[in-house]
Amino acid sequence: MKEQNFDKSKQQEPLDLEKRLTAYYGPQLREQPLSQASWQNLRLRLGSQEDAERRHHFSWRFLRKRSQAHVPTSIQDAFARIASEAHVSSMPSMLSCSLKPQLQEPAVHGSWFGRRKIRLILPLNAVATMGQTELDVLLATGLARSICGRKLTYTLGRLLLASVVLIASLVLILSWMYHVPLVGFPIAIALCISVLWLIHTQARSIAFHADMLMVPWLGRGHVCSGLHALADRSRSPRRRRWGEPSLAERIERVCGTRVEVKDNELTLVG
Amino acid sequence: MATCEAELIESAAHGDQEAFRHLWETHHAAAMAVALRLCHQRALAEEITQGAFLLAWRGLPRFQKGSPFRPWLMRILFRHALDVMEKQRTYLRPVSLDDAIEPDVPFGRDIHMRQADLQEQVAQREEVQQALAQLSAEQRQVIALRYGADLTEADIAQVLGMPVGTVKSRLNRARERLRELLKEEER
Repeated sequence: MKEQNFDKSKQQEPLDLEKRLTAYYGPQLREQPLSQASWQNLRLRLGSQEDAERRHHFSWRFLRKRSQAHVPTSIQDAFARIASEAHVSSMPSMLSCSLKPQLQEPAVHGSWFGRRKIRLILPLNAVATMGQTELDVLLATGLARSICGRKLTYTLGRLLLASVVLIASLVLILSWMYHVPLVGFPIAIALCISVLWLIHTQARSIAFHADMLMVPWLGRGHVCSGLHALADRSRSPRRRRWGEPSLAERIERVCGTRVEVKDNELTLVG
Repeated sequence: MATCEAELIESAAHGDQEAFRHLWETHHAAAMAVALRLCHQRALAEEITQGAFLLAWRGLPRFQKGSPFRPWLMRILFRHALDVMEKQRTYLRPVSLDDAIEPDVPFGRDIHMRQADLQEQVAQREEVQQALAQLSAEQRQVIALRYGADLTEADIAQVLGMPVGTVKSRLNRARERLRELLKEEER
């Protein structure tokens, strides 16, 4: 009898596994239509067939960064919307997004040279917790900085700075050749320090200019709530970085409100 | 219909986005249903569907004229879904109550009863998922195609580009391993 039961259970085993796997995947689903926005999103990513052919023929496509290919669709949607507000033609390849687990707060960089490129760097937890306004402000910041950084005055400024670096190198070489390094070195170092300081000033100026540029795209209220949300997320909204104004400064300029310190916590006013 | 679709494919292969939109409208809902059944997550399924159509768009110039579009699209979708699911390690994500709700089944009157059923369902799914997570990627792929897409061994071989014999042996080994793992969990 026992043996019979044993045989029976052994016979049922494969059936159980099949059942469990079938239950895990569930029955066939009926068609799941998607919204029109889904097609719009796909359309933005299509590109031309020539692009597709080129991609197919050149093997170096595999060298492209993975992060470029995996920008979440919600971020791509938001970027396309902002680009259309800014009257800029947007391509999905303009935007790259990378996740960094060790990062504390999100950052965005807009390129000043070559192809327009916006690089979004997000902490891992931000993907789930970030609100739409924060995302909009980050993307608009990247796009606006990329537009502002290419303005003639800023480009000329950078050319001028590049020539100063060239002069500093020349001074260094000449002082070495004519055995007067004590004169040449301090001059070269002073020139390099001034160049660094000027780059920092220019980057800050571009950042402030870009903030003003994105106000008409998103609306001042939307920008302010986005900046406030980013400041809430930040551990040190008053901290300045090289070439980057603090969030508190940006809020003060765009929204006319301040960030106050209360009980060791930063509380936003306004 | 077939001629019409052939024309749409021809136009889309030459870069006509409007023609491709028609193809999307005809096939995306079915593709989405397949992707959703495979990965159980609506947002991810949408991403997979869009990705598969994007790959199809890029591959259209090399589409074999006269052959049916949907099986070709589905092969792309299966491969893409398997890639995405492995990359995103969907097997390591906890099964949520929302994921367990089948979109086809409306909420009944007895909501408490349904809640208990769902919790039971989630627990069972969690067990299978944990076992699946311990398989190799190749074993997970054949299991997903066999049970999540209801493909025959020959179809799986075609999707994965390998001999039927390899698929059979992989399936058998995957089943054996799963049986062991699930038994261990029950103990």
